[in-house]
Amino acid sequence: MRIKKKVIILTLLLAVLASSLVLLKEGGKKEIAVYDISVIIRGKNNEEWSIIKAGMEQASSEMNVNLRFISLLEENNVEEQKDYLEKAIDSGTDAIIISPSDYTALSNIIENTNKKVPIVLFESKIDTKQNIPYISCDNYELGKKLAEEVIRNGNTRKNIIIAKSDLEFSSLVDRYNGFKDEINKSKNTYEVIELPKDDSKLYNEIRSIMEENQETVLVAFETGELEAIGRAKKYIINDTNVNYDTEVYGIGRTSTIISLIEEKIINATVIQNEFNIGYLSINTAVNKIDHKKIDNNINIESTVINSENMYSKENQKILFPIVR
Amino acid sequence: MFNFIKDKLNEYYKKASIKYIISISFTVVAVAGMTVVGGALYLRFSNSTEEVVSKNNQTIIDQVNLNLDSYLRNMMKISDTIYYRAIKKIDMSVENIEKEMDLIYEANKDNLISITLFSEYGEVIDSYPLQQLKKNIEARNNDWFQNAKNKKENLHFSTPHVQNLFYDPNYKYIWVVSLSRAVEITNNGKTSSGVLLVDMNFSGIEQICKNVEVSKNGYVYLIDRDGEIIYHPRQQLIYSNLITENNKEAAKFEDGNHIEKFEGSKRLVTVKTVGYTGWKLVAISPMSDVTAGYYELRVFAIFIMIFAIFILISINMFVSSRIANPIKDLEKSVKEFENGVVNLNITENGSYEVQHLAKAIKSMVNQMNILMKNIMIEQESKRKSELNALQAQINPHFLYNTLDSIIWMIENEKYDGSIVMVSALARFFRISLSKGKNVITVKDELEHARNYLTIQNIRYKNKFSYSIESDENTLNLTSIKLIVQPLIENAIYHGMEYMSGDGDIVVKSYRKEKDLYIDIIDNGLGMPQEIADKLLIEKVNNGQKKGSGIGLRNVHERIKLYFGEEYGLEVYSEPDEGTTIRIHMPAIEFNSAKGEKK
Repeated sequence: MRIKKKVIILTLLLAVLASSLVLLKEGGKKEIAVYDISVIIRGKNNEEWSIIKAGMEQASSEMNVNLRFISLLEENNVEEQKDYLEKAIDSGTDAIIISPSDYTALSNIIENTNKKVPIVLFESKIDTKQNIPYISCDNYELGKKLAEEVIRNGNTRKNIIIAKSDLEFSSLVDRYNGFKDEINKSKNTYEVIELPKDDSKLYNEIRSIMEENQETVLVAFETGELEAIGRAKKYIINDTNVNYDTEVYGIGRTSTIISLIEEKIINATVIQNEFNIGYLSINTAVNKIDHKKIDNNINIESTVINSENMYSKENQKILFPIVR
Repeated sequence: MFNFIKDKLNEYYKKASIKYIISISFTVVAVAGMTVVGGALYLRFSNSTEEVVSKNNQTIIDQVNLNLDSYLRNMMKISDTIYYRAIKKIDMSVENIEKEMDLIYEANKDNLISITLFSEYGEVIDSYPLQQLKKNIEARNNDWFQNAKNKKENLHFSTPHVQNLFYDPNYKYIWVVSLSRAVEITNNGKTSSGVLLVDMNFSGIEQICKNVEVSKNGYVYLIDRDGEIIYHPRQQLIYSNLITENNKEAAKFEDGNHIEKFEGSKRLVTVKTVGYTGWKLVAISPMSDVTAGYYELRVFAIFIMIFAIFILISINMFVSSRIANPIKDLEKSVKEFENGVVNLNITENGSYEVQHLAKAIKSMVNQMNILMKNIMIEQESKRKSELNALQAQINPHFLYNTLDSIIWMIENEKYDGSIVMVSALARFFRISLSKGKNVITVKDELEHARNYLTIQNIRYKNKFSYSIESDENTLNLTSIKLIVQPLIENAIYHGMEYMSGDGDIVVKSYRKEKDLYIDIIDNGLGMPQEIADKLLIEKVNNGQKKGSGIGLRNVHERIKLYFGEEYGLEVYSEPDEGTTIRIHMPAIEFNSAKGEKK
């Protein structure tokens, strides 16, 4: 009887202990995991990236991410990106989200990093056989859409001047190819020129193009270039008071570009849903950290914006994201 | 099925011990009770949490509604003020309303973006703050303009849209909610209609709805009467099609609490219609938030229940053992009693009833023991009386024979012989009686035998000779009275009577180890050993002979009765050679035997 009692008391105590352990565990479970994620863009921290950043911040606040947004001192500097990549690994970040500034030059380092830290590519990609998630628009499609818009505006037998920089990031190349392929289907011709980076030189170059070529079409595939060309055109029109019929098309969105579209200085731009790129990059990175199933190729929708449709109900939601 | 269970239960109850029946029944009842009570409390509590959450949501949304309402009323007041205090009072051709606009704008700077007065053709008559109007503005294409013109008596709130009337030097695009109304403009004394537009900063509405804490994962959003989203905490995600909201359905809900199932999860939806605008405030609390507390509660409830059940089980076991153990002990004692344990120790503990039972059983056992003892004593006395009867049987038998002989001698005038005989008879009877004792010394017994032999020898006219040889160490040993004499009698009757030659009877007493032996040896007719063996067991009826073995068996039984089964007579015989009857008794000193037996 004595032994039995002892056994009962012992089991009772054990039950109490076990249950309190369970309770404690439940209490501890509520501690939320915080992820450290570094984002390395391939440019300066300017407006071009602001909406992507806003999307990332929205996702970060929802998913408990400690976001570190790293911008470069010089646009598309490969060495700088490599440097930041190494620093990010050293800092013990949980994942790295990067927009590589070069298709080939960054392949090795990113592939090696991916073995240690989850990597997500956004906006542009690298030459790799590894299964690295890539979040972007179909840039080929983007270029194609731009070409379609150019043709839709009645440019069927024109000489199109494509401003091409020496940059080597993948999205730019894809856009270029997409545009070229579509234009080749029409009777338009095109030539590729390289524009100077300096504002005053650019002004002169654009001015000479506009003055020399009547009814010409200028196309830029990079946001910065589009904005520069647009701005130059505005100044030229202001300065000369001549309403040149040079049309400007491009890809990308900044407030300036939108404003220039509204003023019909830029005829159309193709924008990607940058907010989604930012949001889904973080989302994918978090899923990759948690080893959840991820979609390795997330395609973001893109929209052609011109002065007519920019205030449409749907487009203003994309064009002017409500960002807090 | 029910019967089957009932049978099984009955069977079980019949087999199980009282302790198990008590503890298991109690435990089953306790567990059932705990489960019912715990479950009921849990359900009651969880229902009340749901109620609390609903009520809480209602309160919160009422508060938000109040704020939003005052915000919107403020806007309407601005519109009213400009209209009634300025536009209606002045002639546009003479003066303008800039001063009034300026005043009101400055007073409500935080929430206002612009105030603009349009003519009925969509031209801007006046606006504040003074900004460069965009070229190619076609105000008439906008919803707010159309609404104001079509429903003149109303004020119209638009859904959020990007302000596109003025140039911003910083290329800023601001989301606004427009309040438009139709106005009458006096120009040169003529009245024409126009539209007054007040653009409110969308962030004003955002501020009101943003920091509302509904529940952990809950939120509040705002829709117009068609379900179009005005404010949502994840507005851009919805605009970008990354997530969806059940806004179209929510527009159909009446004010109050609803439960909806959206994207696989149940949510508590609280709807409140905002006055005048027809907008609806929708508060969403995922049921998982409401039930999040349940889990802990459930774990806690189960924990408490298990704890209580454990305590109940231990109490049950304690109580049942308190009740059952004395009964079990009692049962054990009874079992022992059944198995014939004599010195039974029945413990008296437990409840009053059990104590009583124990007492009763105890006294019963005692009574029974006494009865048993009495029976044994009775049996003993019965045996003794039987013994006595057997002894009594001898005396008349012999007396008759002897007296017969004496008579015969006196008749033949053999007086000497008769004197010897009578005196021998007297001695014989003195030993026979020996003060009523059953045991005497071997010496006396042999003396008794000698007297008998003397008598018989005279009777049979010295037809046989006899001798008694006794070892010195046997004389003082104990013997049952009258055992040798009947055997001698047998030897004379059966051995000598029909003998032709001289008979000889030898009586020998000797000790062998712890035993005493007395042999009666004759050289008479004898018999086959098989018959001799039977003599002691069954009554050999050969009819014609006197005595016929009664004496032999009597002696045998008496020895057995007195000393035990291992003692008694042994008969060895051979036809024409003679018979030896051996008495086998334990060698007990007479004095000690006297002390032992009464």
